[in-house]
Amino acid sequence: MNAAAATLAVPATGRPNRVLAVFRLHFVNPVTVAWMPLGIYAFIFAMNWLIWLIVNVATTDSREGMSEGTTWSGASMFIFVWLLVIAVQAMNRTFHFALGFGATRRDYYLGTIAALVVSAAGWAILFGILAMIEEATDGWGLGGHMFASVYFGDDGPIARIWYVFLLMLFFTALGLVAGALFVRWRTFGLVGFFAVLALVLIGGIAWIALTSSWAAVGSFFGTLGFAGSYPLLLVPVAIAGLLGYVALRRATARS
Amino acid sequence: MNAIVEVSGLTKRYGSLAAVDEVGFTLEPGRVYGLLGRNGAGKTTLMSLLTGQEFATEGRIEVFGRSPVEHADVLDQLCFIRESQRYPDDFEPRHVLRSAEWFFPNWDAAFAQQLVEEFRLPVKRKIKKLSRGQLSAVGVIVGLASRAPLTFFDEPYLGLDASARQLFYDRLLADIAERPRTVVLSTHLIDEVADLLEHVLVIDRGRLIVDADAEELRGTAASVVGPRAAVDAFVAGREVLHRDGIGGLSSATVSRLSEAERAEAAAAGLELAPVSLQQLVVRLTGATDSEVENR
Repeated sequence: MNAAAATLAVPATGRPNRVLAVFRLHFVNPVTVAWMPLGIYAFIFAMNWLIWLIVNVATTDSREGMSEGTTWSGASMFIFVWLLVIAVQAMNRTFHFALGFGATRRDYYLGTIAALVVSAAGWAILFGILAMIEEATDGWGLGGHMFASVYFGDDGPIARIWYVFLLMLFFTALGLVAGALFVRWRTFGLVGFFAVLALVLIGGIAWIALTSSWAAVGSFFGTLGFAGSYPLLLVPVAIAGLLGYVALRRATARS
Repeated sequence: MNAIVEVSGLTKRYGSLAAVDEVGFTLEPGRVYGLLGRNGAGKTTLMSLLTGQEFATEGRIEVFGRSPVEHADVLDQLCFIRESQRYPDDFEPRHVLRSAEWFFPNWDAAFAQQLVEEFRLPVKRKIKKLSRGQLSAVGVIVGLASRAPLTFFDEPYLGLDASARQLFYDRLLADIAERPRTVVLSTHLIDEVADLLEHVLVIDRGRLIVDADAEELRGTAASVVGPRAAVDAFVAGREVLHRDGIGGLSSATVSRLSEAERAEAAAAGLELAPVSLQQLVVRLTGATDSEVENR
């Protein structure tokens, strides 16, 4: 028994960094986090490329018209929705598991946020590189666009990566808070969250419409431009981050 | 010796249901505890409370000197893989074992690998496609290889075949002899683990009804078997935990008998049989034999 007591305490020096452990946990299976979305993305790209090819062969319209038109493509939007789903799942999949492995809720949340931010950054950089290739090859040789779309302006490749990253963060944060609410209050949490969100949005629209401020809103964003408007997404991101922590702080493995 | 777990007045309510009701006990280092009780008695809730996964409604929990809730230095010393542990959908056992290394300071990857081979656990199969026994093996392997100073095994035997149960038994005994630590085995398959246990906690409907040394507990009751009239005469005035009979034969479970009483029973033509831990718990938690057999 005395020998037992001597070996019981774990030396403080060997203590693992649990934030890092949670971070790595999210990437332990690369199939879901990387290979699957890359595969889907490649498929969407291939479909688009084939359509551009058909259009090129079948029409005699100017290449400029086609190039202009495809910049409105929404094909790249898949990855944003994917990130939202990944964030919801990250919570729901790993929270109970990490708790079972002795992570604190705080460490879990920090590690998860770090993992989501890093993956958003990774995807944004990939997105930016693909956009640069797209521009350099005159739309993949066919005047097609998927990444260098109008939604991210024409402030240069670095600015585009920054905007894409911010939009990805926004979708991720939405998924994060939805996931945290689900982990804490299951379906009620999710339904409640989207109900409140819908009310806030409708309320906002009503307020703008009733005060006839659409022009003011338009000029507000017009003045800010892409460079000024995109960072505003950080406001809902921060709110979502705080709300997610409030929900998770008292969540249990049972709920 | 200082206790590593001290619990007093611990209560956890879900609505009006008290899953754990005014429970108090201590756990000492280097011992093997059995946390026994029927399904839904509160075993898993109690362990969730001890590992900070649940929040107590009332009462005090100290594990390694402080509350386990959100204290990483305490949680570092614990391992609790629940019977119904949820794993990420896309995980395979190899992902679980790989990440265990990052979470448990004493993790022994070589030992885990050895156990994987011995339990014949397929490491490259989706967790949700594993059989119940294989799923139990995942929990058992994590529990053993994590070498946490306080390890909880929640229904470790569930679905394991006889060889795997024996293997668990052997590896656990050998490993805790080499690296002593406190182990809590929670199960309703009591006979399977009875020989391992040094101390027994029995919980029923959220209340702690037994907190006793295993050896002592085994001696607390005996079965008296013989002709009905003789049994009735012998047990008259004694506390009878259970009574059973077929035709003219009868058996009764009574509390501890002294040497003189044993001699008296023998003289009356009665046979004395030891009561197994399982039978004792069954008697104490109020199930009838037919319920036990049907389980």
